[in-house]
Amino acid sequence: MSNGHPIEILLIEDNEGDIILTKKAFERGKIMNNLSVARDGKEGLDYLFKRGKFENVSTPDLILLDLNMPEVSGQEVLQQIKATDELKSIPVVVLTTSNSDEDILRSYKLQASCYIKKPVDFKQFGEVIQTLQNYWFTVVKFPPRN
Amino acid sequence: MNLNRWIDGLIPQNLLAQKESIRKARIVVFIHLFLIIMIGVLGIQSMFITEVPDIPVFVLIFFFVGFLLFFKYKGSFLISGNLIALTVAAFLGPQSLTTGGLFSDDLLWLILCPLIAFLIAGKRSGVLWGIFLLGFTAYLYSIELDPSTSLKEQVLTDDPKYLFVSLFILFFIMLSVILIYEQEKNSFIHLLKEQSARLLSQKNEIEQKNQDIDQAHQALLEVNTNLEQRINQRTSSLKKSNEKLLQSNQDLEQFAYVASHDLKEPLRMVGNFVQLLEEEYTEKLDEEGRSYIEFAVNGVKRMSVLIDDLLQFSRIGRKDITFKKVDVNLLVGEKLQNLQQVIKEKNVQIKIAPLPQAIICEKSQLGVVFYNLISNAIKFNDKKTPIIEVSCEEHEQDWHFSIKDNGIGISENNKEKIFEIFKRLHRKEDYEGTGIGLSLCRKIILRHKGKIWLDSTLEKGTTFYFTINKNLKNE
Repeated sequence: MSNGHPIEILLIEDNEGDIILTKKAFERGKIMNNLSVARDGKEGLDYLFKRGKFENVSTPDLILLDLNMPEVSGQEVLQQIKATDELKSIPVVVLTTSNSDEDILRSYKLQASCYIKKPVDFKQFGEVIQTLQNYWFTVVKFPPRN
Repeated sequence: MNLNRWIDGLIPQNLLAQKESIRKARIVVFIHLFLIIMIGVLGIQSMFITEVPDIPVFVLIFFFVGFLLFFKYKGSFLISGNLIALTVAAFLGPQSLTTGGLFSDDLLWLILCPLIAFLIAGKRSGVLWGIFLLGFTAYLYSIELDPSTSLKEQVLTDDPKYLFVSLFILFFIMLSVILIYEQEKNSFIHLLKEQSARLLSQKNEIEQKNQDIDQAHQALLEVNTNLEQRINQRTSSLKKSNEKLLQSNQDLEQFAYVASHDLKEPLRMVGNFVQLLEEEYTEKLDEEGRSYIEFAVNGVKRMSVLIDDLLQFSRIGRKDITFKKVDVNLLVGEKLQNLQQVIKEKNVQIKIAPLPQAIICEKSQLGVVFYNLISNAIKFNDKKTPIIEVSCEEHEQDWHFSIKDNGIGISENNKEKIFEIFKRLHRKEDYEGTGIGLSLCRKIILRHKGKIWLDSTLEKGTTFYFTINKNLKNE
């Protein structure tokens, strides 16, 4: 974002370890960003629809979504995002452990912007996040904010 | 007997064939002959008495010879019997009127008519001729009642001897007729009895046989029912165990899938955080500490690969697959493209014979088979120029593929082991890999209703063969 306005990122992830790792990886990136975290699918939806304690949050520019979450799964969150006019233009990056064709296919069918497998190697993970940042924050133009 | 054979010569063929009618036919012929001879004798006798040949007598002989021939060609008892009776009546009836009417011996001879008719033409004709004779006698009697018309004076001879001879002959004839009739009846009855006895014994025999058959049938039925019951029992128990097997197989595959999914999550945590530890606390660790971390990270990576393999293995059985037409040349080309780097590095020479352009299979799975077999052929090869040959033969039921290398070979006692999951024959320092490749290949080939096997000589090389069924259908 050329105007220096920090990028708003929402991470919807229930695994504490992954939250830390994602935060670490983004910290190492060169691009200024605000990473907010929702700790399960329900909280993620509350954040996006600005319900309860999330009344004053700003709408994220990018959503990082974990697929395997209890109660409200990543797929359901993705479905709801894509079914809501104000939210459906936000790019959603699916982050998951699963490497199965079905999970990948299903995510794309639900209009995920891209699908990323969480690597076992942290160095690799760092690289993935770096690539993600480069791609989304320097290469790609975001949809204009309202 | 010659006479018999001679008489039989005068009987029509169709009557000779039937046992019951032979006897009767013989009687008919005999009567004809008897009458011819009798008339002949009477004619000669009358010649001596009157010294003038009695022409009608010889005409009669011709008649009877004619009748005999008629019988020979027509073979009808009814007509022949009545003809004889009619001739006798035609001859004796008028003659009796001129030889004394009621008192003529010719009237006595007229009894021959009903007798012959009865014997040959049947009961009905016999009765009719009997009625005729009675009527004729009554007519003669009515003539005799009037003295003016009495024929009594016309009796030629009153010789009692002559009458006696006539009566004796008549009696003899009647006796013969009765005897013949009785004998015929008896013989017929005897024949019937014999036949019925034979039939009875045959019937008994058949009944016995039927009983035997019934018993055998019953026994067979019992055996059959038993067998059926046993088959049903076996089938249902087989069905049950098959269901169980299917269930446990599904459970196992589901388990492997879930386990590999869920196992990866904590593994990733361990791997990532150990690395994070290394990066962020690197100054606080000495060389030994860093090497420990390296071991941990390597272990995690290996396990991660193992889990991925396990996941892939379980998915082969779990996933519904769709068979489609595939050009194997293109498929193998794709796989070689993936192996391009190692092919260059190891200076591999690859020879590919023309492969089928359209086979029915699951493309990605067959790709896995080619990838694994070709990459194994490259990997387990220490020659300066590894040579790999891929070819295919078309058989009636399936395609026979072969992948031949000049690599390190596999010893005889390892030929089966290599297909077991995670089975490795070498130290991982020498040849990397988890040992899933060939078990994966076998599972895929089995899903294609084929088989996989190999020929190998140590140090010389190995040829893997596998078949793909030609009639694969989507379920």
